[in-house]
Amino acid sequence: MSAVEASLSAAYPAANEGRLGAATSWLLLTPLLALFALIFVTPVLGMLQQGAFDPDFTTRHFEQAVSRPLYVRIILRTLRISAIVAAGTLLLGYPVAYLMARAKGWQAALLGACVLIPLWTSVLVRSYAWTVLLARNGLINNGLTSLGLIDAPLRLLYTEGAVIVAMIHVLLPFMVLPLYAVLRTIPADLMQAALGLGASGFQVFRRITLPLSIPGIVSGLVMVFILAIGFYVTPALVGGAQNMMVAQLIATEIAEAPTWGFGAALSTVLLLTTLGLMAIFHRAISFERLAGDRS
Amino acid sequence: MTKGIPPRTGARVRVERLIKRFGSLTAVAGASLDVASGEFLALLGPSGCGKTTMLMSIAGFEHPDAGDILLDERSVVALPASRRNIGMVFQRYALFPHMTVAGNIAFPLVMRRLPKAEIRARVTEVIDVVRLSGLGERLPSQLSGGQQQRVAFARSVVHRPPLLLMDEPLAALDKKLREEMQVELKGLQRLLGITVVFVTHDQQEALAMADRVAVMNAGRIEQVGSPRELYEEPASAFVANFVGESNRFQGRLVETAGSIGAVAVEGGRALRGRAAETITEPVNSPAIFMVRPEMVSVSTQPDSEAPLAGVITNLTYAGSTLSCSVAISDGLSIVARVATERLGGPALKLGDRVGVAWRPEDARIYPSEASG
Repeated sequence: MSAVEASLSAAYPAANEGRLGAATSWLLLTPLLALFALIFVTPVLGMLQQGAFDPDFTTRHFEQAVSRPLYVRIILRTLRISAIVAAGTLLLGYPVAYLMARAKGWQAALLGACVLIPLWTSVLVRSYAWTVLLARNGLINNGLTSLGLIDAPLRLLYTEGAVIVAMIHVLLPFMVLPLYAVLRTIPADLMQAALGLGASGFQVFRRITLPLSIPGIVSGLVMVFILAIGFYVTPALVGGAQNMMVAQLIATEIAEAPTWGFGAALSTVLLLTTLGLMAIFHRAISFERLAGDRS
Repeated sequence: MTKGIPPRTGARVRVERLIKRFGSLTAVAGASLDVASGEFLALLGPSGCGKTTMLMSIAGFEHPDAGDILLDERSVVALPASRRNIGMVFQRYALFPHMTVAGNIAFPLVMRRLPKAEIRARVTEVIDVVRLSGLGERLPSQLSGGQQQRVAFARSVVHRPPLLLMDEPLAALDKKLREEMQVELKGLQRLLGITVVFVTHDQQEALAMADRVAVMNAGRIEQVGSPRELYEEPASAFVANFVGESNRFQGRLVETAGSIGAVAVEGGRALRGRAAETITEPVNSPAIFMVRPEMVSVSTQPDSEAPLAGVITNLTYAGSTLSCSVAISDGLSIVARVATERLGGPALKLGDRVGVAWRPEDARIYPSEASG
């Protein structure tokens, strides 16, 4: 609670009547908390235990994860792909979010649908669609061949490029939505004021819109990056074994060559990275509240 | 306008037959305006009368469908807002929340690529003028409403534009602060010699601040004049009603003898007043009679001298004056504002039978407004 809220609730106790007591709040949360404890916290703790005890305490699995060149390469590739995907969604998503925030009426509805409908479509379906497009005898290769632009089909599928393009497509809404949420709150009169004071359209963007949308940019980048480092379906379908990412490695270690300890250690690394990013995310949210307070 | 060499006198502003439609709605219907250099002009009118659209057209945020806007005899309608060199204070100030007070005020100078040292000097100077010294490094959210208002003003004049537009800039402030800021803004405007067009729906504010007031109604300008002219010589029933208080009665014109006429109201009584020049209709056409409460006198001995008599139904004490409602008949009640007893006014109490009267030249008769 901020100082202002605290003084408000002290001055107007009646405003708190609608709020729930601590006991009631906990009671309402209990069913979900119990479910989480059972199906989420317990397995995660079990996983941590498997990574660190085999059967006695050991750092062997963690050492393996960060020392074997193959694994290091996979982890670095995952981070690289995730960073490129996050940057790519930002570049493609910002103009869309900007347009959505400015649009009115049916145009706003249409843009919103264009962003949301893919989000509601299964990741599996969208990833398979890319294999149809990119395959050796896929739409793109056939099209280019029949136009006479290429002699032999290009290798498009099972490349890092394919993974990046498909993941940008799948994760784009997770960038557009937080950006839109922030851009929409920037009052139009700020832009008018800047124009009236002599700023060009580009200067209005650089000095007003862009700095005020930083919280949305940070939220979007962190959200996309977190989702990307744990992505499984899309890289597995369009990337293949040569472009393996961490999630595939974990699945392989656990399902195919049952090495539970190592899989658990990798999962822990992934979890810690995610938690670290969530901390940054949380700070970005508080910054947003600071910047959004203009009363 | 050459960058960095700003004018030091206010611009003359001319708006000529401006028309602006939004779909089927005509917001401004051929309004013209001529504002002298260094003049403070208030655009006054009820909400939806087109005053803000007119202001936004001058600023360049709305594009008129017809008409012209001239600054110092140069048409600006084709120029984008960013190239008109006009200062503007928005209703909610529109301060940039991520910039400090100094950063906000420096913005128009940075946009004009002035040297850093000069920017610093000018910002410091204007911060002193608006009495915000020491607050330059604060963020707008850390300031009070009155302080934010001053930052908005400073930011809109630091680049010394020849014209400053203000869109209800004091509407968000409480009454006491608003009255202080009225005096302060007026003083700053005189100091800077800048031309100001100020939009407000508050007639008290318009009368208090403006050299001249333009009253707008339904996209047209009803009257432009000094505050005194508007109050004492309103050109239409709308202006008389919107500026100040009035007793207002609908009736039929019964006679016009020279400039003095009479309106028969409900109950057959004839109220005498000066007929507006716009009265050209024949006898018996609908007309509006108006008289200001302070022009009505109340006598405690109703006699033949006072043609109207009635019973006091309400008394409101307002310090130096007393508002007195007198019910003449069922449909006819007249409010008079008289001096209190202590200041030499009559001794009045509820239920007293009194006579009311006014000099016919202090009352007005207008033709009935087209749409009532």
